[in-house]
Amino acid sequence: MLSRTSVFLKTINIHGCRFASQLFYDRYGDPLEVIQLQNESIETNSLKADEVRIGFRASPINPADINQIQGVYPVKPKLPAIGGNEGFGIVEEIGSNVSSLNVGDHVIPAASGFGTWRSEAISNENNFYKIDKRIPMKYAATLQVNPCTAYRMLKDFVELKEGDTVVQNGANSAVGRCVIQIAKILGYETINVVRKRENIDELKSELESIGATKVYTEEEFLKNSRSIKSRLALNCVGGRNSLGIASTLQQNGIMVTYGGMSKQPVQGATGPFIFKDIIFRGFWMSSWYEKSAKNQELKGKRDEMYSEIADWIVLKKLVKPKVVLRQPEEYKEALKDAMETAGIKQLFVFDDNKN
Amino acid sequence: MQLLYFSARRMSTLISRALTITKLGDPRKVLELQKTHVSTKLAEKEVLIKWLASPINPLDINKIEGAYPGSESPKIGGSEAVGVVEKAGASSTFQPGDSVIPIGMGGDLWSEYDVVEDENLIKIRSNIDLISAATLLINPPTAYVMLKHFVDLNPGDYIIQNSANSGVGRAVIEIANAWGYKSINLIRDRPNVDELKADLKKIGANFVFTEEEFRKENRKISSEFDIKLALNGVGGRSALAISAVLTPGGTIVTYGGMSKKPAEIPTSAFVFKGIRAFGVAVGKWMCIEENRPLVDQMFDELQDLIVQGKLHPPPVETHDLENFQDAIDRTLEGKNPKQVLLIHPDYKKFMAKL
Repeated sequence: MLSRTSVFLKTINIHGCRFASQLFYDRYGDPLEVIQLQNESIETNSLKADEVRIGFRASPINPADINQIQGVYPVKPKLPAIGGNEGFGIVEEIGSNVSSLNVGDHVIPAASGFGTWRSEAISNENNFYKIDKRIPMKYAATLQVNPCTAYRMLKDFVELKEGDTVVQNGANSAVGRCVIQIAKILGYETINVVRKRENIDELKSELESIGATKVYTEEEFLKNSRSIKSRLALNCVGGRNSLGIASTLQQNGIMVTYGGMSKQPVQGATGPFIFKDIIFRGFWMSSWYEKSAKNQELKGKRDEMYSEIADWIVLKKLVKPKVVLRQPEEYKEALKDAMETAGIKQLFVFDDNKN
Repeated sequence: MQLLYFSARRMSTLISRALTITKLGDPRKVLELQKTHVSTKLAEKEVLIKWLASPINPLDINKIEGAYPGSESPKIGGSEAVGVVEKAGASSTFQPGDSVIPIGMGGDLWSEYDVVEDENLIKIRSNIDLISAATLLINPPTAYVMLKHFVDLNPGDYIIQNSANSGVGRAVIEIANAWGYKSINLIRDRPNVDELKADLKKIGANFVFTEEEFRKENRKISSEFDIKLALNGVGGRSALAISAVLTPGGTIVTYGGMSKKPAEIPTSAFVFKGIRAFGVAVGKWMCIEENRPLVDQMFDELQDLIVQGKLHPPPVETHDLENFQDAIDRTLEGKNPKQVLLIHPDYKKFMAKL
């Protein structure tokens, strides 16, 4: 969804003009090749009655954003498109008939596909969702996708009780870390599987310090999995790894798949389906948001979710997400790091820049 | 078969030969035909049954090998059978001559005689042939439950399955056809595969592909049809093939794993299409008391289909109980197109009566 602040240059007007930057692509391919930065000065646009102007402050690079630019993600904005699907902004101007937002409100996009790697946007008020002002920038910019995915997966599939065990792979991912922390807040134990790496002990300590009950490498997990009894398994890897975490599920356990880092299909042994009534499901935050836009009950749950997460943030129960701040001009390094490293998120920050 | 009665002062028993799993292991080595004593003194709601015929199913082999949960030894084998009531307890709901099948799968079925409680039996109509009755407990109910309990299907809807030539597979084809659903069926390639395809089409299959053929046709099929339900008896890549073509919101139900490989399902199916994966185990479902009315209704419907000629048993080859070694060998052959049936000496007499 492109805003009215289109990608292409408007006439420069010395009075009341400001600079806007955006990272866009007009064809699918390798993000390092197809993403371009446009810095334009733009005239002050007048807003339609139901539109708002948002000044984005920060927008991350998530794996889905990369897939989208590569052309392999089901949400496909019309090209040319601005990259990025989540971000945090502040309402700077509102149209004459806008009722849901006020100047100064903190907002995130209401849905996936908005195009958030930009310093400002003008769009219908319904395309933005108001969030708690107490949420600091780094949290707000990374609120919509990862913590919410973790939250929904922990709440919507199995009625977990305190002391129940949740098993997950990809535990060092952004979602994985949120799962660890939210599970801890809710009283659940987490068994976390991560890829082996050089400073593995450091990583284990770190994850344990944010609430992980136990952290295993894939090899260690295979040796210990028999003794693990879980009620919920969260999978973002696929292949043999998913087979392994699913094998810990007890009667009526559920494995939820939300990603597939190994690019291998999800695997499930026959026996547990037949003898233990195991269920496999999937979860996609974008789809949940889409449904919640059309369903009052789900919209209520969205408000509840943001409110609860905001409280946790303010009470310092969720640690700051690990991010590295990037100016839009650094987009090539940012994209490269996003595609090659894990555990730290690239966050584009946009200066509050008005002339 | 001689029935030996002891004197009236002692408890009445019969000697009954029973095919026993002496210990878990190679089915060719661990089975023994043993003489057991079966009491003919019955409690109020018990019956004495002569088991007439019992198939050797893959799950029986698994039980003997110890690969099935709850496998134990020593144990008399068998998972389903048809029997005739020889004698009934004082307040039994059954009468001598009634045809019965066992509910649940823990009985001593590879036994000439057996004493069973009323509640563990279902009466089968007298106009149901023995072979249908002998193979009625596991495969048709699995097909029925999978087609009925997971997705709300409407006439004209498409389902897809692998292992289409198995006992369950054939029952799926026929029941789906009877209910107006269309089936897309995957089978393993083999010599004379065209014959098998024709066979399955004759009993109602709409499409039949070998696994290899389907790999080429799957795009066309998934773009043309909304397939809401996939039934998996194979696992591995075959499960991948049928789950990949499900429409958004679709369901895959697993009832078996002939390939012995874990089922594979695409990540994108779960994440972007909201596919759900379940398993089914009718034995457990049938034994839950609250389900009994549904179970009775199911067997009513299945018997209706049999009588209407819409549901057929698999082709069988019979082996006398004492020739169990041959029967086991034929079962383990793998590509035997016929279902192996162990039969009581009196089986032929009962067959002749019908």
